[in-house]
This record gives sequence, C-alpha cells and structure tokens, in this order.
Amino acid sequence: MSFDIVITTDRTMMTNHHGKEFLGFVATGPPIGVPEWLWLYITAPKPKVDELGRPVEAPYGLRKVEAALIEAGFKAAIIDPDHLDKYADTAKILMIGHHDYFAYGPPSSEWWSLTGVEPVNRRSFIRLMNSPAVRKMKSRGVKLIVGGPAAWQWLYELELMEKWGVDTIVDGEGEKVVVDLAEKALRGEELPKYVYVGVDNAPSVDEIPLIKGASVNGLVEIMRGCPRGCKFCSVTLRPLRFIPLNKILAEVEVNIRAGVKGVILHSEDVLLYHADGIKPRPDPIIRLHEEVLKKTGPKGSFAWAHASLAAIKYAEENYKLISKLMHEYVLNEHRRLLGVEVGIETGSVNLARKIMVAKSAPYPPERWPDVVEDAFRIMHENLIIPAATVILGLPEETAEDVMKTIELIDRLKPYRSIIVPMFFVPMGALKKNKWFLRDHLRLEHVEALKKMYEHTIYWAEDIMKIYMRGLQYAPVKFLLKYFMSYVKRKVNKYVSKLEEIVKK
Amino acid sequence: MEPISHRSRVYKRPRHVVVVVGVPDESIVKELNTYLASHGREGLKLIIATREPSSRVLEALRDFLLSNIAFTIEVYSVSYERLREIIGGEGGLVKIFASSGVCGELPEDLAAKVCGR
Repeated sequence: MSFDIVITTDRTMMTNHHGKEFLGFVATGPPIGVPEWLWLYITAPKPKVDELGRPVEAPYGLRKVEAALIEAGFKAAIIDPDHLDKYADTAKILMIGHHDYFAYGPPSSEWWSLTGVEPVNRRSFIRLMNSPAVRKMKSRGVKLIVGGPAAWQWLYELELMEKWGVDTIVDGEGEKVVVDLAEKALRGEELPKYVYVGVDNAPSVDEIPLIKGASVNGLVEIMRGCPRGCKFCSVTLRPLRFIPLNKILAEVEVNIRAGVKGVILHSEDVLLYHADGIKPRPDPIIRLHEEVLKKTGPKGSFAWAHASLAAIKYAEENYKLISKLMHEYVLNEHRRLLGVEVGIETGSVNLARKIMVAKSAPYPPERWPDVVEDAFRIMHENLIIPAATVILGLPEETAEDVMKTIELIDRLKPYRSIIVPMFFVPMGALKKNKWFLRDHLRLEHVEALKKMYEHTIYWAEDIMKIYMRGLQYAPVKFLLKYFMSYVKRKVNKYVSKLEEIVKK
Repeated sequence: MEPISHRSRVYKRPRHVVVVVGVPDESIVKELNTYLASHGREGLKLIIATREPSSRVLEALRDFLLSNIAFTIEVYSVSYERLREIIGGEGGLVKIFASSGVCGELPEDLAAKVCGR
C-alpha cells in the first residue's frame, strides 16, 4: 500500500513520552549530564507502529491534517520518521508539522540560552531533515510542506528552508488550506512559498474533522481559541469555538479503539468549555467530565491540557466545582492526581495590566497575585498538580516587576507544583518584539530563576512518587532522579556563573 | 490526480493580487502594510517576481508577515518569464509595485509594463 501524502515529524514529537505528557517538556531541553540517546529514551521513546509504519499514537495536530486530507479523498497517512524510507520512492507530497522546529519556542529557547547547549528537539528535527529518506524524496521532486504552531520559526531559518527544499510554509489552522495545497501540488501547479491562514479561513466547528487514528496520550480538543486576549499568546488570535460533546466523545472512542485508554482534554482553558464569557458554568463542565470518564472507565488516565488560574478560583468559590469534579469524577485508586498546565507569567500587577489584562478576569488585574495563590491552594487541596509557567523578559518589564514575581513565587511555596521559567519569545500580538536571551538577564532575573528552581526541586520528588507509580516506570524514574541529583550538584556553580556574567 | 470525492471544507483563496517586481524594499513594505490594512479582509496574494532566491524574498517580508495576525496572505516567488503570463492573465490583479533599481534590469517589454517606460 502506498500513500500520495506522507505526514510526519521528528522523534521528539512522534512519541507518547511513556504515557507521561510532562516528560515532553524535558524533550525540549539540551541533554545535560546524560548522553543524547539516553535523554531521548527518557523523554521520547519510539511509538508502536503497524506494518505500514503508521504510529498507533500521533500528535493531534497531525491527526487533524490527516483527517482533513483523507476526507477530501487523498491517500494520506501519518508515518513514523523511522519508516519514511518505505515511501521514499512513491510519496508525492511530504507534510511536516512541529511545535518547535528549531527550539526557538518556549521553553527550549531558554534552556538553550542558559546552557549554551543545543536542545534535543532541534537536533532531532535537523536529523530528520537530513535523513536519507527525506533527501531521497526531495531529489525525486516530492513537494515539501511544513506547518504547525512553530511555522513562524522558518522565517528565521530561511537558508535551511532553501537548503532542504521546503516548498511551502503554512502558518495557522491547517484543515482547509492543506486540501487546497495538496490539490495544487498533485496537479503540478505553482505552490505559495508561504501562507498565513487568516480568521476567514479558520474552520468552523462543523468543518473541524474527527481524527481517524489515536492521538498522543488520548488528547482530544474540546475548544479552539481563547477569549482572554493575552498579548504574548498566538492562540488568542483564533476565533473561539466549542467542540460539541458528541464529537469529543467520538474522538475518545477512536483513541480507546486503538488501545489508548487515557484522555487529555485539550483547551487553552478547560474550565471555559461552554462558559458564560470568562465565567465557568458548572453544567457543561460536569457533563463533559461525566461522559468522558464513563468512556475511559476507572483505570483510564485523565488530565487537562491547560486551565486558567482565574477560572479555577471562580469555579471553586462560586460552585465548589473543582472539588466536585475531582472527588466525584476524577480521583480514584487508579487516578491519584490531575495534571494541568497553568500560566502565572508574572507576579506584577503593573505588567499584568499591560500584557494580559483579562487573564485575571472576572477578577481585576489588581488582584492577580491573590488569584494565583488562591488557585494554587485550591489545586493543592484537590490533588491537581500544576506545571506553571512564568515569563521573564516581557516587553516593558522592570526590575520592580521581576521582584513582584519573586515575591509571588515565595507565596506559592506551600503548594505542590512545578514552576517553569520561560524567556519571552515574540509571539501573538507581540510577534515583532525582541527575544529575551541570556545576555539580557539582570541579577533579579537570576534570583527569579533560582527561586523557581528551588520551588520545583522541593516538590519534584513528591510529585514523581504520585505521578509515576508502578514498576514499568522504574527505569525512567531512576534516570530522572539521577538527572535531578546531577542538577542539584551543578546548580550553585551555574548560578554563580550566571551572576558573574550579569555583573560584567 | 484522482477525483476528489468529498469537499466540505473550502479554502477561500485570496481575492486581491499584488505583484512586486524585485525584492521588496522598505517603501514597498510600507505600501503593503497600508494595502493590507484597507483591503486585507478578503485576503492578499502577493507575487514577487525576482531573480533572487525565495529565501531573500521572505527575509525582506519577514516583519510584514509576522505583524499580520488576521488576514490570509499567500506569497509566491516567480521568475520574470512567469511575470509576463501573470500580467497578461492573472484575475484579481490590483496593483504592481517595482522595487527601487529594478526597472533598469528588466527586459524591455516588462519594463514598459511595470515601470511605464
């Protein structure tokens, strides 16, 4: 069997991270203290594939592109990067998607900037592009189309685009445009070098296809877009759409049929599913959890991709919704926690007003630090473990702003969580601003980095005990522990070095 | 190509076509920004005719492309030969810009059409 259109990505994306999504974060770092192959084993093991090289689980974004192409009548499939050679002589179009092609996104760019060591995801992607299978396809004149959330990064790597023979860069929601591009490519028509998919070409809810194969760790989208309008974020530029419950459940079933029992509800703010503006409504959220968890059964793992701290506080304080969801639906002897990514971004009210005025809504930005702490307390009490981000180097940030962030991190010490620093990357409405790099660090930034490191190390072992239960995780747990002890040994030396650099 | 059996999702191709001859310079990028602000809603197909590699074209347009967060934009990089066909037959063509210095290096027939000589 052959496919006209082969869709793929590199190993750091084409993996289920041992079923532990948070390990995906580690794949964005440079391999420090361990050889690269071991780093890849820890963070990005090879997935199961069928005899055609199709992975059982694949990134959700690629699944949507695959579904749109199949429904349009094309012979298209996602193929694992190790199996591309099977199609090197027959494919007509190669489509590649990625979250972070060149490690310019957060948090890769920051690990890279801090350590000076090239992150694994970038190395892995470069290896894919230089692989014999991809080179052979290009030498045969296969059209190469790249896209995904990191498409913008190609505009900073134009020499590589030329060298590798990329025909088209697609930035934006791909479901409609990929069909048009595939038709053009197969007819031998001229392809655009670059396409930005505007709001007018964003698919409606009815036009978003159901995935045809399982997604990584059972991720399913429950809404697209975000109403909060934070200036540093690209998702907020997209129109807000709620995916109907029957479509969500249909995708959960696709995953279950493929043997993926868990579910990650994907949204920029899970609690805003069918919300009243930015105020969560209990009924749709409860129904969503009830129905999804009925499908997965008591043993299926469950997580939220993202939630906002303001929505967590509002939902609990007004409806006791968080405790209800956790104790009546989520938690049991098999599911002992719920993981979620949340954004703190800053502890400064001043900066919050400038760049994320609605992130605290329905509370005023003046109350942002309290909103953060209250939400952390609520999560701690209900066994929700957040991986929180803080952005350093936002445009217009002052030393005082960073000090406020440090104060807030101190207040969060009692709450079980991971806090990950991110250097500002120009995205969203701030796309034209400058990157924040190691050379821009000031002493207060180093202090903030240290605080976040101390917080995360303080909680990491406790979290790992609950997050990675079972003998099957013993080797990964052992390696992570080794890595943590390595970091502990090195960090003081490294902080002193950073302080010296800053003082110079 | 095999017939497409099912087309429920139709991509709206940009309605307006703007041609730039030569690698866009600062003044052309300024004009493009103005044009996008007033007509971008229906999408913009930007055809750059040049002998330079397409990476050079995208580099010149990088800030313009990154500052757009709303409208559909397609960028094509074409040869002067293809430019002749486009000027003759592209539907929706609304504007032709020539970047500074390019008129001197164009073949006569194209210079007449693009630079009005």
